[in-house]
Amino acid sequence: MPINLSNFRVINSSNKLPDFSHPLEKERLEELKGDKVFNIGALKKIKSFSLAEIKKSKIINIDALKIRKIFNIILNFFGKHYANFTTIAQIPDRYFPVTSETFPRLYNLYKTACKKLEIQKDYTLFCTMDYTRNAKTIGTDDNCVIVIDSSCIEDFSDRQILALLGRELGHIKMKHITYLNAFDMIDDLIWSIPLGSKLFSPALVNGAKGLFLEWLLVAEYTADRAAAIAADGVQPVMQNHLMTSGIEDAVDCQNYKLYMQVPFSENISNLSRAAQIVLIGTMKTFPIPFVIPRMQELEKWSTSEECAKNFPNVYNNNCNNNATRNISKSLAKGQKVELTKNNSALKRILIGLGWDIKNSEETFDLDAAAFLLQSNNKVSCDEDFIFYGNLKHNSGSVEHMGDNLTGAGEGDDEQIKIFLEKVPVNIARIAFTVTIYDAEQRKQTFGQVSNAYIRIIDDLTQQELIRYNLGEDFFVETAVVVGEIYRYKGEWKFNAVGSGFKGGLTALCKNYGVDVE
Amino acid sequence: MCVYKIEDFQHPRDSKLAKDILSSNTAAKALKEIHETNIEDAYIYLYQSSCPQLTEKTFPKLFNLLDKACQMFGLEKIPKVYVTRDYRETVSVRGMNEPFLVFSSEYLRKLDDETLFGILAGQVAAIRCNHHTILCITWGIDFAAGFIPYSDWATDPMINNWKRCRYFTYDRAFCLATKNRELSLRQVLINVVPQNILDRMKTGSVQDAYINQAKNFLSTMSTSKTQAFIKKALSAYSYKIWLPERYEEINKFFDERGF
Repeated sequence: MPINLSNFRVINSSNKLPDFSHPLEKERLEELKGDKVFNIGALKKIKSFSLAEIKKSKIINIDALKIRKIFNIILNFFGKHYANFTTIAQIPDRYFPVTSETFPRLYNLYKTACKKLEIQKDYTLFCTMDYTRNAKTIGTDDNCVIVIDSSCIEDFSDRQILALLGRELGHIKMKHITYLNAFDMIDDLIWSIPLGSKLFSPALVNGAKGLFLEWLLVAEYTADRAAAIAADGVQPVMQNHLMTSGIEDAVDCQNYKLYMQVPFSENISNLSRAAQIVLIGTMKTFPIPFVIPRMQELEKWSTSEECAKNFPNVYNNNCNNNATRNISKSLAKGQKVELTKNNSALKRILIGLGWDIKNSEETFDLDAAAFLLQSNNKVSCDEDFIFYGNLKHNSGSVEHMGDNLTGAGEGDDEQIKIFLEKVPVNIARIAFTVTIYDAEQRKQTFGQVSNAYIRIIDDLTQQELIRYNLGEDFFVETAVVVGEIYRYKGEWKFNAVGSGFKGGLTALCKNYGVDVE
Repeated sequence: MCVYKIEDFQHPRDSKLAKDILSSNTAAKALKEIHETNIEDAYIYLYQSSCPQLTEKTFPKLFNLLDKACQMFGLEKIPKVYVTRDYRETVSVRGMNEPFLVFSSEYLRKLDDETLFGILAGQVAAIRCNHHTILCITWGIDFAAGFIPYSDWATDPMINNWKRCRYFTYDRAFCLATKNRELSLRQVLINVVPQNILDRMKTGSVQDAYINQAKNFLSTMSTSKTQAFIKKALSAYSYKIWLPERYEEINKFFDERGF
């Protein structure tokens, strides 16, 4: 019995991505380019156009003119001599190209991030052996490559990798790359320019660095927004920031607000020049300079009306925006967690399953189901298979809530309710699956599905306890065992399975011993 | 709980050099310059904004031990603690008016409770002995060279000598806090020797795999004229810590105190 397609949430990807740049970005760039050399306000107040009057009135900011000159020389020099810098990334023994064959997980995440940020051009992604849990984009705006650290692949969840790549793609999309790399090499560049160190006074060079720094912070704010858009929420971005900055355990990073207590009131432009040099000289010693203000700024944006209107996924995935949602435990594939051991009051749980279709124009039909399995991993009878044709188990312990008729875009697509105490003693585990209806005939697979997840909610308090985002490891599969709850020493535990099957619901049924035609 | 006075743990060489440095005109000028240019504000802001802060909520165990160490070494205000991800670093005390600690996350991760307590005691003792102020002065000069005209002073033999001797004070506090010779010697080699090798070195025992090397080094340095010259030259141009000296001082301290 096919499921009504209109009940499924589909994201319309044909809309143009709204502007996500930080409001100060344009202003800071103008300052950096020296567009504010003329003080229009002072010009209006001037009484006579004598040289003395002009000097006194500060109509023309001489320092700004000089800094602009330095800035343009640095950029020209960078463009001329480092435009082919990316060739370094192509040296095979330093960086490894990420392809669908060499790093399938990373490659698919990269493609997903590109789609989310509507990046059309194919920038090469490399992986390098390092422990910094970071990524960088090298080259210029027109000719750049992204290099991701191997430790990210080992330590980060799929959503965290999406966030990391999203940040770099955000820099690319906003054309930050030339400036970022020129800033990174500013001292080398000054030394490389013939007579550079003689021509430019240290005070002016440091003035140029100070302007760069003010722009850099705002550019990073923008890139962090791109990261949140790619990851559909701020939490993976915050986790990345903290894990790269010294909080080793991903679980410790989930309640990221605990680390955001530092008041951010310092304005870099108000600091003395010596203090600015201290900032610029020392900032490179930190994995992510100014990480706390960046987190604060991202949090502020993700709870704003602007974000709610333009990026509802980011807005809705911030726990601040839903008073009833507490921070739940986010799991990785294969991770097992206790459900009832430390929560004896937990009697009734709701399993929420959700997904998106990558191409909204295609007709897709997905269906959630539950298999009540004995210790031999088989059903005891066909009635142990709960799906759209058999919504409730005889014991009353498992109930399929049907399709989500109200959620035109948000929330779970399907839900299954479990009364833990009513589950018959012969049932050792309950597996939750999602399958594509008529997949073979329609030539559809889970490679075309994104953002699939399973979450467990305490049905009494409506508090989300656990969430497992499946990532996008699937290509040819037409059925997925998303997760399972199972008995262990008298308690219930959850296992984030995330395994794909070919052959759809029929194959799953056969696997679990259900008699199907 | 036993509460120690500064003279119980500050090494005499550290004490003398610190006094000489802080009473010098150069230090006074540098301090004035740092204050006037708000360098310290920028420095503190950079740490506060770039390193996650550990608190009682996030790391309760660490704060219990820090509280205990502060009581033991007479520090009234518990310093703030930040963490950074850097495999080369261990832990350091920073700041001037309001000193704070910065731990490398990897270092923090591998410490057991007893070692962590000893290390925190060492840092608290350093604050009590005003190490952070001298460190901040030398740091300010290093980074603001060009603005503060005393950059050559940073390589002064006196400063380098103090930078080495301050570890003797730190080690003494570790010894007093743990009263464990084996552990006190072992902590000198954490982040110097790979963990799995360090585990087999049996520091402080009769089978100590480093003690002979340390003794040989020190006797050669004190007897050979060439080596003595090298030692003097190194003192002038480098503040690199000599592990054998720390090793010797720890053993001496335990022998004197009889615990």
